[in-house]
Amino acid sequence: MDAAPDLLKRLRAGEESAWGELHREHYARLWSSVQRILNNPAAADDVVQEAFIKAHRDIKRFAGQSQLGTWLYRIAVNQALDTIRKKQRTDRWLSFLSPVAEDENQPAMPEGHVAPAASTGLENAELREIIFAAMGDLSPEHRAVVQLRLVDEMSLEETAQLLCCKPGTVNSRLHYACEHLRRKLGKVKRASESGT
Amino acid sequence: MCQALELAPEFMEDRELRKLLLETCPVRPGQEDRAWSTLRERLYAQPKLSWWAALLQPTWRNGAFAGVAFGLIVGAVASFALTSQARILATADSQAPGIYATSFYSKSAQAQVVWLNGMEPASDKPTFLEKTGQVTNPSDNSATPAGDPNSL
Repeated sequence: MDAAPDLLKRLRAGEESAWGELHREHYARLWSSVQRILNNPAAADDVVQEAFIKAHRDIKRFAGQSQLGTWLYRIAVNQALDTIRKKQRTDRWLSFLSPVAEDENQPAMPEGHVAPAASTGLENAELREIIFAAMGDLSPEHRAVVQLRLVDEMSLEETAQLLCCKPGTVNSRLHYACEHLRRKLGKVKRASESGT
Repeated sequence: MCQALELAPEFMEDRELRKLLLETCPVRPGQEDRAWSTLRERLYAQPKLSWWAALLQPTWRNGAFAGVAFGLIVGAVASFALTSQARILATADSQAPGIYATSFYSKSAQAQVVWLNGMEPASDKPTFLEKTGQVTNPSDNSATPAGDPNSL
């Protein structure tokens, strides 16, 4: 289905039904990935929408060397990373103007909140909440590494290239993030064991 | 809770962590439809802009176009101003040696006349002086009209 010549032709022609098809097929995955990076549902909505608009504008330049879904995914991830960079630039300016300096070692707080949905395979909404909160404790850079390297299983080089950092930095961020997530989930287990 | 916690042992492997993460951030019911209708509106329901309205859109291309147009206008105005100034600087000066000007009202011409002595013979072409104020001698005497050579 992906990058099928017929679909690609219809997409290039700007056919509304073809774009609807593409949206239906890829929206959920894109939104979840972007949301895991940004931890902000409203921003994730905007980023995914901008990604589709960019794809619509640039579809004629899509050479077809990769799968359409991969191409779209890269656009969305790049948009999400751009959003993070813009926000960091703004925050730097604001902290420069603000008399109170922020502690850089402090982990970023979650920017938004998503009500857990009941329609997923994961039965326990409480656990999802815990994972969500644990992800929210991480900085956007750490979340991006977790998403690209762990969840999407991108190569080390690809991840480093997308995040504009060294492969060693990707590894150390991934290690830190996974340890953090394991520690948070482990705490829950210990609390439950002592409670029972 | 206990059922879920069985999925989260203290030393969880990466693939288990991945599985859990994949199940977080689900799309809410109806979210995809809402997103598509918003996107469709942005992609297809936008009114077509006329060419002049499209020129007013804040795009890089329009910015570059406006910059080039502004540069050309400034260049043209500057060039015109400098050229005119050069001509103005070459006007007859009553202090210049050999040039005398007399002004009077001519009833026959029904106009104020400025009589210049010491300039080139009158012709139907505009006459400009050099910036030095020196008057070049007329080389072609055949163009001299009968009577007063400076006659208007």
